[in-house]
Amino acid sequence: MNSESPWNDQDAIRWVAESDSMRQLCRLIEGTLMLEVDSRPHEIRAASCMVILLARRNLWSTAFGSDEVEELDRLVGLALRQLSAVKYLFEKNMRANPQLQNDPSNKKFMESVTQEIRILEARMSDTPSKLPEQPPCTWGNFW
Amino acid sequence: MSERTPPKTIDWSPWTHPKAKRWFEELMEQTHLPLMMEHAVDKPDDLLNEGETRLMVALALLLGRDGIWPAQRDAILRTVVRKGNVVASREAGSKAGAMSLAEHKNRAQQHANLIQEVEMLRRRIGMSNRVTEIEPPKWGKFWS
Repeated sequence: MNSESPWNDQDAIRWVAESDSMRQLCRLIEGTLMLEVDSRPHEIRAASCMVILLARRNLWSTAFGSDEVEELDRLVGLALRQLSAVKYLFEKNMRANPQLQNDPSNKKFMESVTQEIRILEARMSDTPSKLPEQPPCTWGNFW
Repeated sequence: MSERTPPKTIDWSPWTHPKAKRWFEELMEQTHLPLMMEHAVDKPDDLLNEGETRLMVALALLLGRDGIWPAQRDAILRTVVRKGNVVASREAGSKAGAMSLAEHKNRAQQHANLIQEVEMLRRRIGMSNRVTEIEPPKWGKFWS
């Protein structure tokens, strides 16, 4: 746990714990991750990216009485599975439509989704990550 | 001779696709998170809490971008910057009772982080014209 993170301060922890907005936000993100990939790929990718941004100890609002580490692992695992399915769906579309294979926007999109998947995989890993510190390539100048 | 124009690239960031944009719009509207963030900092300066204010600055840094943050709530980002500045201009907070050297150091470091994070948010929303390079926040690694 990074002690320099803003959400590891006692007053911040209290705010998150008491915030109905954060609780509802987390539930809605998780709910989106449970939708059918075929019908909502972009919404699922958006929800997965919110997991990358917000699923951190003391920031993600867990259900009352649940084990925080376990719940975060489950959530990141769910985002990873669903985003991988989104990638597979778009790869299938590309195979069916060769024009897409040479489209630079599409290539960049696929590269970014792969990077987002790698971040989620790194979150699941117990060993220190060797990923570059840059955000995924479609996220722009993030900071 | 006809000039070849480069193919138009589409912005595929997770928050610019129209369907994703709509999803974020509903997410922010249903949870009222921007309003709750405003509520957390919209108080007299002497009642502002450093930990809470820094959290609002961090949430604004993560979520305050086109496609995620509702355009009609931009004023809230400016309020977060203003109140963040108030807290950042104070001396590093101390808690009641004796503090060890390590605790003093930690509080000073957190305060220095807040100053940098407020500046980052000011630039993001166009409240600052500074262009010098600024380091990502200490917690900015996406996989940590």
